[in-house]
Amino acid sequence: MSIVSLILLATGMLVMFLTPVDKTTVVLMPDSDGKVGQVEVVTEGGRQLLDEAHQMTVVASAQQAPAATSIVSDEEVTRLFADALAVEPLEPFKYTLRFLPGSDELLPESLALLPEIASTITLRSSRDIGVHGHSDRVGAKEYNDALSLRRAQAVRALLIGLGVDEAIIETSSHGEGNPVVPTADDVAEPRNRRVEVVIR
Amino acid sequence: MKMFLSVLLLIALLFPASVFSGDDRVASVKALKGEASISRVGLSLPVVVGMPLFQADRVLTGKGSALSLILLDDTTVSLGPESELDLKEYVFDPQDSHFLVVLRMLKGTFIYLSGVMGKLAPESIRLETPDATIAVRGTRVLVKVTP
Repeated sequence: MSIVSLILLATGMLVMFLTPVDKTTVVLMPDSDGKVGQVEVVTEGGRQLLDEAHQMTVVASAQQAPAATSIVSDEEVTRLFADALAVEPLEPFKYTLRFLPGSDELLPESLALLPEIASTITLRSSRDIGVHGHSDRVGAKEYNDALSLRRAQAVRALLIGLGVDEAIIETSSHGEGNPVVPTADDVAEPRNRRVEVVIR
Repeated sequence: MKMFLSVLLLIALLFPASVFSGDDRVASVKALKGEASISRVGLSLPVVVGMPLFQADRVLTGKGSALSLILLDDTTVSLGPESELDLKEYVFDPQDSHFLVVLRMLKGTFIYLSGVMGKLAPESIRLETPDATIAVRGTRVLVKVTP
């Protein structure tokens, strides 16, 4: 090996040794709808907000503030995160079914959706279906906890009747606590009287 | 008598009937490439797709492996190779408005996409790495941790 090569090699190794390793790298990316949220990276030394897609910050040590943001390309993101990206789940398919007030009886147009839901489950070969019951804020909290559970169970029974394997369906009751349209207490809101079927 | 009943009640509360029953699950494994394991109460369990995961589980992926999981509120976390993730704390209870997600990323690569909690209670979400804390507001964030 020539002297020049040896010097270059030694310099390269020295640079590698002296350059701080980025301990934490954070990149903000859009979701599948193109929506971009925000993250804030905080260390003992300071904080950095990310609020645009492809923004990246790095943390060299817990005592230092996170670096000012830079923009990272899709190619670089793919390079760094290829394996995780390959197993990232598809966005779940969601159906909303609506109910008569104070009831676990589906509105006719929602009842009519059930066969389509069953066939989407088959098409996606999904083994993981969430059936989540909700209510509006009319009535006491405990009443709505029970009502939203009955709604979820009603939809579950209908799906099983259409041939969906009961073992893959998980029901839950969200009561008043997860509205589509937030309202004051005791306000009727048909859009909150619902079951969401999440096909994952 | 009252004292005796109180002590009895206290003991009853300390031993829940269902320890690690399906009802306590916080997530399911959605996809797996290669090999991964779960460290749970000192035991190491091989990962299979569909397997339930619980609070305090540590997820570890092997060389050339990757795994994705879906939490109860539809948050998804995907791990690349040689990665380690602690499901430190997870509460999703819309009925009583109790929300909490604390995940600790110890090493490796991760993709975090927030679910319902990102919309209902983003302040309840905290991602931790050995050197930083990441507050998340309804979004998709990619994290790489070098030990």
